[in-house]
Amino acid sequence: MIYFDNAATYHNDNKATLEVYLEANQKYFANANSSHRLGYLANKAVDQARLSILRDLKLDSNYEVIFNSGATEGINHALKGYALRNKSRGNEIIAFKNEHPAVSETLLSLSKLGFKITYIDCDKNGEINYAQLKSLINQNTIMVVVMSVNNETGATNNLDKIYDIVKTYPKCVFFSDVTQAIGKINLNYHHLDIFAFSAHKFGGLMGSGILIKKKKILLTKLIDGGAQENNLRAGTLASPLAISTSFALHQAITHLDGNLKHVLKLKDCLIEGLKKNPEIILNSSSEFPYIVNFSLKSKKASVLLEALSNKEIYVSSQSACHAKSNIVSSVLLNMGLDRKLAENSVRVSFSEVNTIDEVRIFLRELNEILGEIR
Amino acid sequence: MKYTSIMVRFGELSTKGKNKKDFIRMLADNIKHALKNYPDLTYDVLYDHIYVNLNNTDYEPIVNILKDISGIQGLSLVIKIKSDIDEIKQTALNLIKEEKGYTFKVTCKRSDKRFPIVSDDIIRQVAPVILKNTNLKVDVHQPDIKLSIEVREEGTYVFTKTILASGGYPIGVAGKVMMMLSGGIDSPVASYLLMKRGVILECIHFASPPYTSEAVIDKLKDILRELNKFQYSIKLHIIPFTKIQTKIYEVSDESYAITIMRRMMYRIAQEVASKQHCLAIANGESIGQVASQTLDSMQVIEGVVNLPVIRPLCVLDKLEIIKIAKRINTYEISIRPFEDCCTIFAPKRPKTKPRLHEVEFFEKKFDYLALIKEAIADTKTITIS
Repeated sequence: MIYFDNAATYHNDNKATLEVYLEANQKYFANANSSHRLGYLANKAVDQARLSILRDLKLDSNYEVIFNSGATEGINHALKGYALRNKSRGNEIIAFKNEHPAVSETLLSLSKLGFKITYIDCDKNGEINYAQLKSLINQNTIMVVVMSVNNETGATNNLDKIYDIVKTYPKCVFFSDVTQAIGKINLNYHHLDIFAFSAHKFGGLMGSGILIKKKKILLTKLIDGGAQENNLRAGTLASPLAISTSFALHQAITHLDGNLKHVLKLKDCLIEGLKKNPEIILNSSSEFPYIVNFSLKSKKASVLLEALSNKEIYVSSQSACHAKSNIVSSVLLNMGLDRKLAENSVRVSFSEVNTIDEVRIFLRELNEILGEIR
Repeated sequence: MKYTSIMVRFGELSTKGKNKKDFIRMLADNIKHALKNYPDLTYDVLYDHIYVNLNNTDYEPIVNILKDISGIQGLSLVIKIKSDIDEIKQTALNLIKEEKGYTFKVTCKRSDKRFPIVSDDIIRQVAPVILKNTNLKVDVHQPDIKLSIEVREEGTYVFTKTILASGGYPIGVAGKVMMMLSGGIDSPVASYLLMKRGVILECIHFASPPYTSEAVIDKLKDILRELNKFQYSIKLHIIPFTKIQTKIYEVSDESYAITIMRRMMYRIAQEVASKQHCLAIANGESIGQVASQTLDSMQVIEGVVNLPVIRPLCVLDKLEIIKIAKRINTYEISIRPFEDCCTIFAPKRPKTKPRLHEVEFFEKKFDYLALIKEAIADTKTITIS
């Protein structure tokens, strides 16, 4: 099996994370909000996990960690929670055009509630147009929303540059969806006011996510109930999950540089191989090596995927996988690709356990299949 | 009151003569098989009804299963008692008290002529008991409640409720047909309609990996599992079709590809059908629905086989087909978005009026007989039950 779909779920065989989970599950089975000793101990362990996360991300005590179910929840909480709580400050939100549906659909909901959403274009590499952001931001802007790394193409935005623009507007906060970037590249998290991500994108367990925000930023809560998570997210905290997530993040951050170097080699090898096949057009030009996106000029990506899948090679197609549905990647269309190329795009995404040999096998099989299918 | 049995009425068997016995036996077998998970049931198979005796089993799930069995016209929930006039009166009264309505009518059949009271007199004795003890009035034309009494040799049956079932013939009485199953909306409906006519089906599917997804086979299995309600075991022959399909596109004009592809499918279907002792080929085609289903196309395509080709849906329009598909629970499965061999290769301008000599010109360009032989040899057969 060759698994090259790590942007969907990261697979690095991290047994240690599971062990941490199992151990915590045994040790801290009590409700972390109970006032007896067992509850106190569980709560303490979770607080350690919060501290460890802040430490790993080089954040100080001005930030707080909210555990939740995943990036989608965190994004919903951040965007809706902030907009609804702070509508007296203004009603304009500026957002990147190529955001993940977790962001774009949430913004759509907000626009129905009366918020004015303005979108910023991307260039042909999929990176945000910084000048446009600069010209659009104004006194009524309450939030700027720009992802770190695009999930389809790996296009990477320079968050520091955006920070420089946003910081001159003290009423405006900067939110970023860092789901694809965290644990894979170094980011200046202290440049962000609020950000969200999922654990399963860096080797953590599914069903766990984190929202991190500056303490001074106030949010409305989305889920009513008890006063857990500093009265920001009701519902019993999954302590073992939270503890395992902080462990997985620590692993990822500790090995970040080594992994990055390794995956860079994989990416270079892959791109070199892809360039040799005239059927293929590369859509990724960014330095982010974990995701490579390319399109087929005349053949169907869905057929290629099926053929690869039959050989136990798993990649993904961010596009019309099916002739019967007409979903095309708007990310690629926004980058200026024509519809046919956008429809037939393929995404390869790596983890640190992938090998050069796997890339070579992939290339060989890819070329063979492309030679066979029509 | 507790029902003791379900009376099963037969479908169109009144048109049958001496072979009616075989029909009933087949139906009884199908019923017993469908109800095999209910061990407490017993059966009385008689010349004009089959009785499923509940023996304290809950009747509702049994009725739901029986409703889908082909060859059953209707079901009645009955109470079986001794043929004794006092007991008949009491049971009739108790049963009718549970019904909602203002008017009633009593009907009676006395096939056991040993019973001393004739039908009319039974009615005359039962009706006053009801009139005296309830607020119901008699209406012989449009009664709210129809109370039926049947006096038979083995006892007397009293019932008020009759439930309509699917009708048709018991499956198996009409012989076996090879169904071309794509996984779309139409072919499962065509299958169901044939099963209702008493036809046993085997299915044939043409798979073109990697152009078609492995998930299509899963989809077919799910569809056949739904159809298992009507036929408890269904064979599915999966033909590897990629080689033939790609060859067709290599040698022929794109506009003719579908016509030739269908001809190849028919040829293969006929061979597999003959091997499996099927008497006909069937499919889900509906006149004019797509290019390969115009009469012009059908005539050119069907020319390659000599078995009868049955198209149960040929006169139905899509909305009618969808309605049936929803009723038999195959619609939601059929619309799962996986490509089948027809969608992926769909040419931009397929011929709606293909010409035979042109088709033959393209077909001469490759040794399709050898490819067909190879495909049939590599057939994978699975049984869904």
